[in-house]
Amino acid sequence: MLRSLSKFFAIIWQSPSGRVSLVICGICVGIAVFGPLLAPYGPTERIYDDAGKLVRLSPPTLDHWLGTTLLGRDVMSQMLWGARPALIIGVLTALGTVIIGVNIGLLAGYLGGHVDNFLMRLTDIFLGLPFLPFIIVLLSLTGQNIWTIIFAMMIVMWRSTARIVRAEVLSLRERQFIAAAKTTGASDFDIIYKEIAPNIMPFALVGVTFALAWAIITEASIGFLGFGDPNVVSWGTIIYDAYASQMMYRAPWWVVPPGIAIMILVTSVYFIGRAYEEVVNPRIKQAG
Amino acid sequence: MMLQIKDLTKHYLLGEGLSSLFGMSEPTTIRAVDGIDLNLQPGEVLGLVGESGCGKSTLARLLVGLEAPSTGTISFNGDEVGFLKGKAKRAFHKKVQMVFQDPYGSLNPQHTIAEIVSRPLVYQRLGLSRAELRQKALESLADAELQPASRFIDKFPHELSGGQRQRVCIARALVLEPELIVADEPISMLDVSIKWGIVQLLKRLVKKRNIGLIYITHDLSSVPAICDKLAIMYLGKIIESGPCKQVFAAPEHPYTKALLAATPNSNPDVKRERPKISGAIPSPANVPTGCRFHPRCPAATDICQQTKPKPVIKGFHMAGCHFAHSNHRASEIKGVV
Repeated sequence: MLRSLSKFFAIIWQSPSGRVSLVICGICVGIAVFGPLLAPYGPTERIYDDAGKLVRLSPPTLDHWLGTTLLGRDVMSQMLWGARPALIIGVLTALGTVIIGVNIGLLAGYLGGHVDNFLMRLTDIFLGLPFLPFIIVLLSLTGQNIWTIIFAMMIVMWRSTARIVRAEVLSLRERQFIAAAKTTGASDFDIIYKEIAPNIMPFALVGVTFALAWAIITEASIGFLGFGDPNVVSWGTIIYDAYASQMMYRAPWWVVPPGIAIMILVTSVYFIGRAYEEVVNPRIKQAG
Repeated sequence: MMLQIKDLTKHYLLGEGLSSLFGMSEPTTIRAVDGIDLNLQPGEVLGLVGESGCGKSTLARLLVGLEAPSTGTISFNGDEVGFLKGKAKRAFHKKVQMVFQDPYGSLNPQHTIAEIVSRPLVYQRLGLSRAELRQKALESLADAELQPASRFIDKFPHELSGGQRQRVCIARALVLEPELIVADEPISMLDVSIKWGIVQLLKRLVKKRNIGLIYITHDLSSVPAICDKLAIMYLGKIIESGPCKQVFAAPEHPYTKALLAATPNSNPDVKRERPKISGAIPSPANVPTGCRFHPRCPAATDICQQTKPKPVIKGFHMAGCHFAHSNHRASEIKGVV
């Protein structure tokens, strides 16, 4: 596990795009951890000038580097606060997705028979769920908070990982080292988690990065559509506020920074996945 | 008797699908192993020889418990071991180990050599500490003569050569201190220069630890160097067996004679007669009537087509041929092959 992770970072570091992406992600993680300490104002704090007047829709100034919103909030501070929910939701969703997907894929692929049939039909059912509508319906039924968002995204995202892992397990289980493990007395559990799982790790790590990118975009989309957690300021909800107040054209400083931040973060996460996948699965490079 | 196999068969049913359900076609039976008797004592090496498709790998899988027999019995130290489950099966796996043909595919590419060699101890739930596992792995690698073991132990399989990998496979088989090792074509995928070393290693291990070894191969030339006993397999059945020297000196079955004649000799001046058998081994789904070798046998007569030959035994030498050990036809067969 640890060995796979250090190998993962070493592989990514080899490619230039991977290196840049890793640095960007590192910065984002830094903002997520320390941003609230650096932010000059609270995310929902209203700012008044010396005359006691609300600083509405101020363009970028020295005091407010990214300007202020219609309600007089500092966009810069909101940006710094907003990285944390985006990353927490992204990372938790990606991990949950991959843990569910990998386990279902391993069990279905190795045990085969009725177990495989049951798990794959289950996967088919989940594949039939429309992505965003399902999440929105679930959120409106259970209330809007980030845990529900994470849960809802996990439920619809594990399915593709499960499929990919199962296909890989089907070929791995016929390899001779599996027979060798059986002749030394390994149980099914041993074979699945000690012999096959290490060989699935590369796919799982690629899955984590793609799921992470997807989860960040989806969280922003949900926020933008107004179904985000109302108590949490994330990059998606900043854009939603700008949209809802119909100030998108009059105050571009309000919309552009979160948009660009989401784009850069998602792109770099995606490039990390790509850089790793190209090494793990050399066929991709030839085709591209 | 350590290992005693009686009338062992393994049949696979093919085509049990919809069409057979509606009576459209009969399911075919693949007779991979079709009635085998074998015995082995500790410290003995049994060579099991046959062409591809004769069922020798299936027999190996039956012996190590990777497959369950269709009928017949395998008894190990007097206990029936064909259908074990759970703990009893795990205990059986501790005593019988296998060395596989492919030293590339039989090592997990994601594990280090230390992990590969010590995993059997983990799977046997022996409750050893990390340090103990590593120590056992080192000892086992030294026994497999992969030296210095400490230099290899933290490498991955892809960093090793074919011969080194096969030694790792042998170390893995040794780490549980088994009583019987089944080696399925252990040298067929190795370079010629390495083969000899592996054969010698196996031979030394058998003598030193007094274990049984079943050495499976399609290549007779490596047999005299290691085997005490020899069994020739054809289409799921053993058609000739006996002490290795005796079978080599005086083969009784026409198939054995043909195999011996086909073995390359390193001396170019020795004139060899061409083996007179042709064609390929028949499908185990459609075993010939009578003697299963008759369609390819140069000395076949009517009786061979109609009647299954009974094993003819003389001393420890058995041959499943109507004309075995009979002076009456022996000269004739010798002349033909």
